[in-house]
Amino acid sequence: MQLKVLLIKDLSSLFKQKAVVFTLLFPMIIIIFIGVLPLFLQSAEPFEIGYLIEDDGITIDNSTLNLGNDILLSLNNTLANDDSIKLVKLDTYDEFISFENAIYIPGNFTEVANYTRVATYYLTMSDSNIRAQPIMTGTIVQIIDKVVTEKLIPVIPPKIEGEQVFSESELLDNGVAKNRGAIAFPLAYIAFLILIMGSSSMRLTGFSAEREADMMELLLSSVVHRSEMILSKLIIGVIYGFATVMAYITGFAIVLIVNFNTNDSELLTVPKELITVTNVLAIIFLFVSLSFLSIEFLLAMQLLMGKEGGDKFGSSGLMILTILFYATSIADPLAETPIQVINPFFWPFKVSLNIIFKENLVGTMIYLMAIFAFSTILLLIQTRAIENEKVLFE
Amino acid sequence: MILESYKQLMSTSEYICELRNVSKVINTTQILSDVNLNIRKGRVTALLGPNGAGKTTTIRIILSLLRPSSGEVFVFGKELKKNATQIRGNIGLLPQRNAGYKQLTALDNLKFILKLNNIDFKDIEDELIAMLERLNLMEVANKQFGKLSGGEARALGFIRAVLIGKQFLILDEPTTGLDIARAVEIRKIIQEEVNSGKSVLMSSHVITDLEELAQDIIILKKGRVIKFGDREEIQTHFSPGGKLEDAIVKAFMED
Repeated sequence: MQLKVLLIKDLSSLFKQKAVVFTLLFPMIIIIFIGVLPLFLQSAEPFEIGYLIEDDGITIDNSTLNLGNDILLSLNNTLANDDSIKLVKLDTYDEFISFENAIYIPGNFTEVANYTRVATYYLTMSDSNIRAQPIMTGTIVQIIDKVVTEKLIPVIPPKIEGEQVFSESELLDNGVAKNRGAIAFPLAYIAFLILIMGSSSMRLTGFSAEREADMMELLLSSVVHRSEMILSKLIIGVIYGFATVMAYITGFAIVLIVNFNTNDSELLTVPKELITVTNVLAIIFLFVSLSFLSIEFLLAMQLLMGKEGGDKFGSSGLMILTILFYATSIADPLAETPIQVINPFFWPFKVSLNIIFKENLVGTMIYLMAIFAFSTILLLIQTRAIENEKVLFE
Repeated sequence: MILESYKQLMSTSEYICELRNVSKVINTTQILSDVNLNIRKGRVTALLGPNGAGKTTTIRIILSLLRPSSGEVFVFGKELKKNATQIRGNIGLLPQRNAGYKQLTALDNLKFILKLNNIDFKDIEDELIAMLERLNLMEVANKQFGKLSGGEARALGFIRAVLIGKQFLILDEPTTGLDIARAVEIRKIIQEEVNSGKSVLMSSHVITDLEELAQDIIILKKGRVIKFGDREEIQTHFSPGGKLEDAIVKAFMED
């Protein structure tokens, strides 16, 4: 069993390369830098939230109801002991539009709310995402609840939003979409990282690296079994993919620890109900299968096309599929378009999401079979390339 | 462990390696045509031929890196096809190019390939140190392989081949790129290995290697064996009374 010997050598070769250490440390440092830097900026100057409340309120049975004022009161109470956030009163709509981070409660806010039980307020936001939807468009109770208890306003970059009114059932759907988005977005991003980083390890320890070292002849003339050679490369790619993801997670974890007592504690918001053993296994499946597929793809190319061509065409092909996967998934991580369905890197992503959200069992099985078939075909191509002696010829 | 495996393989045949009617076609090009060879045990056999004659292909077939298109190969008296893995583990190969991982040290490179061939480092440590000293490599043993000179890398590859090949060495240009001192020492070591009973198949364009070491000579040309015999026989055939070098040149020129 020479697999252990091959693995130790490949790991040693990989992590002795400065480029590899750099590619692992660099993202971690960047994340920490981006995550921690604002803290220092914040401590020097408090984060400002502008408010323009024009709510006229209503009178019902001789009693006055003004939800705008109630929201302001709640905000003031919440932020009373928080030096890092400062509320700034705005006097005109123009001021509101030009303010970087502000909330606007229109004149008919309470009236509409009382009539429809759903009302709209406005935020100057630079970004709109699924997570923000229910906050912008929730019922009055939800608005106050979110603003007061979750303190989401400081972390939502503001921009103007059109007026929207949702029914309760639609709001419920938005809540589901919120959970799905919270999982799907980071998963798509991590999958993208694995595809990029795992494959870069193959340029450093794959068969083209063996050729670069002129070691193919020696390896093949040793007692090592061909399949062990392929397996070793696959495992190394998976380890490197994991190392990359861990570098990112470590970076986020450090940022979270540093931010523990601050209002940025929702930097990584994954709904707690989604953190289950099954879901963690589904995510591990995603990492492993993506690493395997991408590395198998590159190894097959390296074996079929030689040192130069393998890296060139293999990397280009992989990059195209990866970018297609990421671009289509990040546009809408819950979609399933034809261009995604024909991309093998999309299959593990979809399987993981289906498992996490417990849906589309038939589709999941089909994707699993497709992954297995594709992986087997790539393995056969590699084994045959070695057996058919292509491995020795450029 | 290796010796036991070798004993199992060894037959009473007087040949360490036999090729019977071996042909090889790669991408429709006929590389070898009906090659018949018997490499005798305990001798240095030189495999010679002009560029493109089929030397490397022959070596790769013996190592079971390539499968013959037709014909049979026997190594240690056993059919290669059925015993490929076991046979490979008993052949020490020095490839034409210097092989090694540049990030690892020279010693780590050696340890890796020894482990890969199931050789316990402790069993060969003394032999290794002795050879490192003889080839003046002790000082560079812990240097990264990528920082070794071409000659140092070559000498290291030679040590690797000797340690792995307990009975059979295949050496492709063993002294190319070496300084004179190391080349002389390597020739001495090859001679000692043969005296201790090992067989050597060597490809070399260095005439000193051939004059000092070659006992049998195989001349390949355009994928065919044009002459095979002991050195005197070859010399007498191609250049009676002349130098070995002249005989080889004439052999290469002959149609």
